[in-house]
Order: sequence, then structure tokens, then C-alpha cells
Amino acid sequence: MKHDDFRELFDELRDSELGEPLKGELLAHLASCADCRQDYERRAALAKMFFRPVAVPAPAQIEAFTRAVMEKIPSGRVPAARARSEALRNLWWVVPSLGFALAALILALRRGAPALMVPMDSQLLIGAQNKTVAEIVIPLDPANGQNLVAVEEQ
Amino acid sequence: MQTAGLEPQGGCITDSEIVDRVRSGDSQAYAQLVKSHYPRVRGLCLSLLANPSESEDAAQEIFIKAYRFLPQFKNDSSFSTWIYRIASNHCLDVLRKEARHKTESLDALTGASESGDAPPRLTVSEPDSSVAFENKDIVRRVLERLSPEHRMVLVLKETQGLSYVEIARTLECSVDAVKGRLKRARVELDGIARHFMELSDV
Repeated sequence: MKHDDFRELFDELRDSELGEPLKGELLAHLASCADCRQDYERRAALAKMFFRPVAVPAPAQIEAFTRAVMEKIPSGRVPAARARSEALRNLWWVVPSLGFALAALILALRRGAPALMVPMDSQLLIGAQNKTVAEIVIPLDPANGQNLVAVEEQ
Repeated sequence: MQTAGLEPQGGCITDSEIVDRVRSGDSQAYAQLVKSHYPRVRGLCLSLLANPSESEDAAQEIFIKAYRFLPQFKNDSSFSTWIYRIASNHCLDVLRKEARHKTESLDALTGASESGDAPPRLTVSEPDSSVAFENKDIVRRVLERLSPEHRMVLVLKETQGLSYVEIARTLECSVDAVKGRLKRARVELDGIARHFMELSDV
């Protein structure tokens, strides 16, 4: 690996998230490369400068905080939200059901809709007016089996 | 630095059992959950919000909010992770509100543009624990310049000592997303810090 490849791993090493064998390779590289070691130490120092541990609160402080919280919460059960959330959870089937019903409705409407008609002003298929597309029979040339209807190119 | 993870602290009764008791009407049992998790929730709030009284208020709001939403807690994750998630979201909301109100530029922070002086130095005498702060207020204000999301992920890692997996659970994202966010956050911190410091000393 090159120096830049090792530097990509600095954060994971410092975060104790780098596994073997990369960890061993990186540590060996840091032991032998002054530039990389300096960069690694600079990054570690930066983190230490800006992020420091927070002192654990004293037991008395924990007690006082707990009392303050408990004074603000209502006593008794907390069932309202539970009942509501469980009721909502039990209605999980509503949305997919509505979607399915809507899809079925659309299909039913389409099936009942009038068939596609040939427009009255069609110049291409004279005599085919007021017939459905399925009813139109295009005559074929018995000599070569091709359509007798001329189609103008766009 | 705190190194403990998000695992529940030892005791005869598990968090899950206490949650069940609270749900079934024993609201006073909630005090045990508050006592157990207050130190870490407070640590997170203090690291992110800086102002102690604001942090204390935030911690109270977090526990009251958690009590209200306790019925929605599922036992498939630990209570510790769950309340940490509530705390993270609450602090993020506070940070975002604060960020919207900030109009100061980096130059305004140091007064460099007005006076023409060099920015104040935040020197580190040696690259080990002997950190010498020349101006703690500037340290705080450098952190405030970080985007709330970047500040959050850095605090969870550097101050709270969470693993990538624990951060991912807290922020409800993938481990790869955590790695990427941490990387970008560190680049951003480095850039802001360079504005204030002579990094050649660091």
C-alpha cells in the first residue's frame, strides 16, 4: 500500500475499528514512516483538543435530577399512547387494501369502457368508419400476400 | 474519555422489566431508568449543547419525552439505545435551531477582518494529552461552526466512545454511512480548526 492508502485507515485505527491484517500493516508502517506518524498524531491531537470527556455526575446530582423529572411526569398508567399506537398498528392492512381496491376499480372501469373506434375522418381506411379496430379486415393482395391499403410514410 | 458502550448497566432488574412495570401502571419505577441513564444522556447533552443549564433542561425534556413515548418502545432494541436515539434527535433539533440563528462569519468570530490581526492561536504544546488551550471560548465556537449532523457524529465517537455499530443504531443509519459521515465531519473540523490554528504545531 501507498502512504495515501495508509492514511485512509488512520481514523479507523484511532476509532479501534480496524481489524487484522490491516491493523498490523498500518502499525508497522507508522513505526517506519515519520511523515505518516506525524499526520496520525496531528489528527489524534486535534480530536483531543476539541472533544474531552464529560465528568460523571455526583450521586446527589443524579438524585436531584431524578426527583425533578419524576415531579413532571404524570402518575399512573401510560396507556393512552399505547392504546393509540396499538390501534394504529392493527390497522396496517388498510393502506394496501385501499390500493388493491383502487386498482380493481380502475380495471373494472376499463373493461366496461367503449372499444376504440376508427375516427370518422380517417382517409386511410375508407369504409372502416364506426368499426372497432378488431373488426377491420385489411384486404391482402393474393399475388404476394401484402396489404392492399397504401400507407403514406410520415 | 468514556469508553462504555450503550449496554445497560448491571443490576437485578433489567431495563426491559422496568419498562413493563411502568407500562402496567407503576410510574414510580421510571425513576430507576432515569437514574441509570441520566449520566450518559447528560454527557451527550453537555458535549453537544455546551451550556450546562441548557443541557440540564434538555436532559429533563428527553426523559419526559421518553416517558410519554414509552408505549412505543419495542423490546427488540435496548432501552439504552432507544433513549440515546431520543436524546440525539432532541439535541439535533436544538442545534439546528441554534444554527439558524447564527449569522456570524468565521472572521467575525475572531475579529480578524476588523482589526487585521492574525486569528488567536489554539496551540497544542505536544501531540499527546498535554493540551494547552489559549482560548476555551474559541474552542467552543469552532465546534459551533460544525454542522449539527457532523458535530453529533463526532461527539458520539470522540466523547461518548460509541462504536460504529452503536452510532449506526443511534442515528438509524448503516455502518458505512457512519464511516462516511465521520470522515466528512473530521475534514470539516480540520478545515475550521486550520482557520484558527497553526497546525504545524499540532
